[in-house]
Amino acid sequence: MPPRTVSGKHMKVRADAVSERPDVADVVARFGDAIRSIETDAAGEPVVNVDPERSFEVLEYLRDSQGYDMLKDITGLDLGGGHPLQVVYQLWSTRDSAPLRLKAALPHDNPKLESAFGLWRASDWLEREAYDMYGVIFEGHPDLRRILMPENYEEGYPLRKDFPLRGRFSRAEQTRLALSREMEDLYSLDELAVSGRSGSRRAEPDEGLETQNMILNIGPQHPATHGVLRLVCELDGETIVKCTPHIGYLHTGFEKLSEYRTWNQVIPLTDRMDYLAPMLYNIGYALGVEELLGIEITPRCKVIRVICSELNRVLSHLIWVGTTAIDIGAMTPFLYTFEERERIYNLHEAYAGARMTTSVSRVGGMMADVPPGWLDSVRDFVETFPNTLDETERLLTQNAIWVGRTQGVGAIGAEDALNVGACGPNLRASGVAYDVRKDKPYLDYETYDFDVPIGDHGDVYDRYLVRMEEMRQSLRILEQALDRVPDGPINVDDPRVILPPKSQVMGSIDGMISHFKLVMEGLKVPAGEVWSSIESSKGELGFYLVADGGPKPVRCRFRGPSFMNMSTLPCLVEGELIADLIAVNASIDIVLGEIDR
Amino acid sequence: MGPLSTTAFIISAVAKVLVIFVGWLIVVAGVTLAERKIAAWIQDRSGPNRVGPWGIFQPIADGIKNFAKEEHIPGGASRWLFFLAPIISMFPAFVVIAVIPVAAPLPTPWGLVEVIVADLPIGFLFVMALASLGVYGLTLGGWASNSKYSFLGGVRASAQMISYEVALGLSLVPIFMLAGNVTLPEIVRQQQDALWYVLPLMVGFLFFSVSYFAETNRGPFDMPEAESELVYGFHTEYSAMRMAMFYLAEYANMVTASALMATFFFGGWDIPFWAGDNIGVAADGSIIGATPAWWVTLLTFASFAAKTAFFILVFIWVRWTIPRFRYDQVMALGWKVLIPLLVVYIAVLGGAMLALEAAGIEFGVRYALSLAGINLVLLLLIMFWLDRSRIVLGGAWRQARPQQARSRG
Repeated sequence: MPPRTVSGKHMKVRADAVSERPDVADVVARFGDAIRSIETDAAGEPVVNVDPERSFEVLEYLRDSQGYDMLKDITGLDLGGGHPLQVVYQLWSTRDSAPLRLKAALPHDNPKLESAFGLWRASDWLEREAYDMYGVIFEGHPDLRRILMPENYEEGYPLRKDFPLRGRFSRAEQTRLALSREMEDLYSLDELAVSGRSGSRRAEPDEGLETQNMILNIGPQHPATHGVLRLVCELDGETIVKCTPHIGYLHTGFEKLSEYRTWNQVIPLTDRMDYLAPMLYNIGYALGVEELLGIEITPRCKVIRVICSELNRVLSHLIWVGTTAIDIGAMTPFLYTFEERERIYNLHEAYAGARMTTSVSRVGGMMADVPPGWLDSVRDFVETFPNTLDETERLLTQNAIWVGRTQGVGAIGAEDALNVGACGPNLRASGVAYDVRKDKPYLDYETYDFDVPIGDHGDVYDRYLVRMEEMRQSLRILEQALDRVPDGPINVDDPRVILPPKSQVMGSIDGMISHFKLVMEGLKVPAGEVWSSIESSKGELGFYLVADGGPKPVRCRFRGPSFMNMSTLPCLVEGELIADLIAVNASIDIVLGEIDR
Repeated sequence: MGPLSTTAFIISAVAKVLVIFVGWLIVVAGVTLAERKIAAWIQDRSGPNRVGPWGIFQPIADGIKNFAKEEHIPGGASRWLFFLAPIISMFPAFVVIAVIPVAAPLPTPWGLVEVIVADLPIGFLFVMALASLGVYGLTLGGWASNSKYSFLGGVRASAQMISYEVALGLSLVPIFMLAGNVTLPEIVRQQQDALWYVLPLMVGFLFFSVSYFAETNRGPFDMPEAESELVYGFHTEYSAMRMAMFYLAEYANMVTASALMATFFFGGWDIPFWAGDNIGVAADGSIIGATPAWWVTLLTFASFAAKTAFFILVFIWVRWTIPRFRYDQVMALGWKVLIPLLVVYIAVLGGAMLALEAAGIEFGVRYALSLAGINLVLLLLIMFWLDRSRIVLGGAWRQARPQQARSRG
């Protein structure tokens, strides 16, 4: 299949965009010649195209003078067909609760850009990923290596449009290459201490005693890595001198795959990323596409989606509490929380037919209306679940060992947490009151009465408290949502988006035609782009979707919260003990399916 | 009934060795099952229930499985030490039982037989000596495996066990001060005469149990294993029967610890509030106090077994309830809390005993009750200090932590 191209202007340029936003106007006034154009995306958010030579200056100015202190995303964009490669920065101002997107166009051969590492440590992994996928060279990045693909991957840059879906090399050649490296080299002290940024410290020779730091490989197979994750630790005794996470073992190429599927066919991919909160991912993606389409879903669908979202937040936090308790040595809370998870899985099964890979949403609605009695089952869960929550809290919250193991461990302050890119409960535990449900409400979250718990110390204990409280707040939201489920259709009444009912398909020519077109071609999304996000259980889950008017996405960027949180791990654990590393790694709540995508 | 003849002594000794050790092995196997059943009960699940009714043959099935499995020796391992380590670990755990009296003396046609394998005059010193040997198994096992996880586990094991041996030894000093003796049958008899030592030595019992928890490497002190950190610590690389031997050693140590707690602090085989079991043997072999009978022996054995079972239950209960300490916290607890407190405790207790003797109170119930009062005060003080107003002054706890999740509307 030849790469599709996007014709000329795929975004409407609105002249009033500049005057609408004073910060944007200010940037234009200040960096006049560096700003090439200003556009708005499908959601009306400003997109500033900057001169790549001066992108760093603009970013620095935006961060320091305009309050854009949160770097949400850095990714590449290849529209194909001779368009230049683009690097997309998604910024957020916690001061003004405002988004801003910056784009820098680069040539396909030898694309170079100054690294934003000096501004946000969060850009570390994001730039590595853009390098890995698009070959963008970020000058000044301390450790620009491939991140998701193997380090000796030679086939090119997978997300570029000229890269075939199956890869360039044959399977045999790929295997041969993967095995061609000398394995012993991978385990030498120098090789394992790869990223040179934190200054690998070797113990001083002490009175003729030759000592050397030890390299410990935690993972890829280890009880506490929550998946296939490899943490290479340099140890001085049991103290961690440096910890380097290696990810990519589960890389599935979801973003590449999405470009070869119709918009609705992407939904099953989304729940395979975060299989611990699948419905949140389904719903987040559907919301993004609907924003791109500019359609409003039905009131009933909104409430059902809120119920599904909050159930999945509880589901994900429950496994978090359980597994973190196991990692800190308490086995029993895990089984208590799993019993409750089982009940949510039963609800999944009753609704979606699947327990884990629910694929429950559709663009414009849900896969089906909820079965009769399902809402009563949810209410039953909401009413009885607090007992287990209380019991788990009794086992942990004031337990002296639990407190001793978690307080002051892996602590990070508010400013640093923002800078390194922590998100979700981890960010809130550090005291930053950022929650997408409050700051950029979707699904009418502004009409629900709930609190966003915030910690002060940003340690493991605060992350625990925040998540426990979030579960209680989710229950509050669930109660309100259950009380207001309206009657009416679950799907929008729009034959371009939603399949018509069977009776119409069989009985009327209009129904049959729209069914045929939707099934054979897929729904068509007008050209445009959107950066839509929801508050997933693990943090802000962003979808950067680019459409060209065709039935398939041009770019599906999944900005996962776990990926961002995982990248903060090295900053959190340096100087701590192995046991703390395990506790911190558990506390940041990762799911490898989404990190590796 | 006079003392046993040499022949009768030898025969009775062989019989005791056989009965007690075989019984011990069965108990240890039973405890592995008990742990799984009780853990399941605590955690709302079924536990083993496939092999026999209520899974009671599970230990046998496990044994067969472990014998049938492949013994894997990792590359680069030190083969001899790797082979030796589980044996070194298991041997002391099983031998220690020899000095614990399990029931009242049994009258036989050939004389009165003490139900203890070896009434060594060094008594508890023998237990201490052998318990210290157990650490070699763990350390060597960790070292010989040629694995970093095992190595770290071995290092943790040696540091932890050596530290807590000091505390364990110190926590027994009060008993020797009170009993003036180190043989275990003698300590049991003194508790029959006065009170169980748990009352006059409450604080000692607390410290003894904490130290022995650490000494047996069970949760919350399972540093050397710490499965979420070090995979399985010192026995990561072990498989099949060798791994099972480490497990057996752990459970045997747990049973021994429970038996010792019962013996030292809960009167051993004594049945409370009943004089029928107060059987003493004078130096010339004549019997003092109640008349021995086979049913008294059985009853006292049941009493001993019940007490031991209770402490085994406590061991299991604790493990499945609370999280694990961190390595440095374990060391800090040992060196900075237990040892200094024990030294102070011994001094206070010695002073109290001197004062009681000066007041002319003979060793007996009144003497023990006076000490119990002093201990109760000390215990409350220690509890209050350890609690740091977390539970006792409950409400203050949340206020003391302003970072307790604030809310944003």
